[in-house]
Amino acid sequence: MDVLPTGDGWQGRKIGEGALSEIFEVILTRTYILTAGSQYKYGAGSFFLLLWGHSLYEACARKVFRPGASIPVENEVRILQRLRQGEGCANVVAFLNHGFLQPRGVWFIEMELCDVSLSTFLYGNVRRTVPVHVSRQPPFSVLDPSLEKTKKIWDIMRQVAEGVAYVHSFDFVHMNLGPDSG
Amino acid sequence: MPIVLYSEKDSLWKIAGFAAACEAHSPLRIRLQHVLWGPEARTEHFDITPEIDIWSMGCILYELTVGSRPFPTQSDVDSHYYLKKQITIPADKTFGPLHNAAVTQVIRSMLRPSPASRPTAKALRFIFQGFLIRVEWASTPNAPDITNLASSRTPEV
Repeated sequence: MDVLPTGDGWQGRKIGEGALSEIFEVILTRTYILTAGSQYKYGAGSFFLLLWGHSLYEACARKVFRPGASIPVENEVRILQRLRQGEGCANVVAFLNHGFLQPRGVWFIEMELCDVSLSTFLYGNVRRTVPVHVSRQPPFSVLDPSLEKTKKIWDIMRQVAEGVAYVHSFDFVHMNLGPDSG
Repeated sequence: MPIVLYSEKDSLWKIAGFAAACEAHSPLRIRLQHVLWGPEARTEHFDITPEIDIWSMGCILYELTVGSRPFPTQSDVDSHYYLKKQITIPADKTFGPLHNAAVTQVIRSMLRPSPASRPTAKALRFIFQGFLIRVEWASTPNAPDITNLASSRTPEV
């Protein structure tokens, strides 16, 4: 089971002036209950599992919204659904499911489970103790004679540009790009 | 909530975090803190255009290549000054087989104060693809030197 950090940036963060954190948790689920086959996905059993908070997917990232969140969950769902209707882009995270968890009274969005964020990839799984503007060692030494790392930079940027171009082709603006939410 | 993610399953970088996403030219509903927004977000009549994402990508690229954020802070009104001045790239930075001037120019163009003068994501995709090919070319063994290909000097045969 993968355990990803819950301390730095993964828990609810402050959005707007004095607002409560709207997105108050990101749960990464790895439930192997439904590995038998997809016939369970839309059966009666799936509703029961959904009721109890299990995911229908073998592995997914589930974002849970506080009831009455001022960022409406509909906005994110609408945009993700619209992006799913197109030809699709491998550099945009896949949207799997959304719904309402009855016992907890919260809305959730389920997305494809990824392994590491760019920020964690660059600086490791450490809590930021210095402000981001303080100059650090460049994450990739461009003087590296092997050129592997400088190749990595352009590979990452090309893929990010690919995903952003796809989002822009729907006339959407992402508005929150960054290695991390900061 | 991380925004740029890596999936080991298909070895791809993906963008996520669409909570603040919206249509272009729609009214600004929420103000996020500590995000990489260009100076146009600080003007009174802020029109949401896709170019604000290009600015954020420029900040990511700057951080990848230089190792720090291009501007000290983006959360205060005082930082307006920093957003207006042209960014500097340390003189000792080299970008492998790429022309320093070319890379610097691309980073600068992404961080232009005027949104209309920034390149589109579609164009950047090809620019980065070109850089990637150039680096891959240089890393192949026994590859001829093509770093001076763009210079006006005719190569000696």
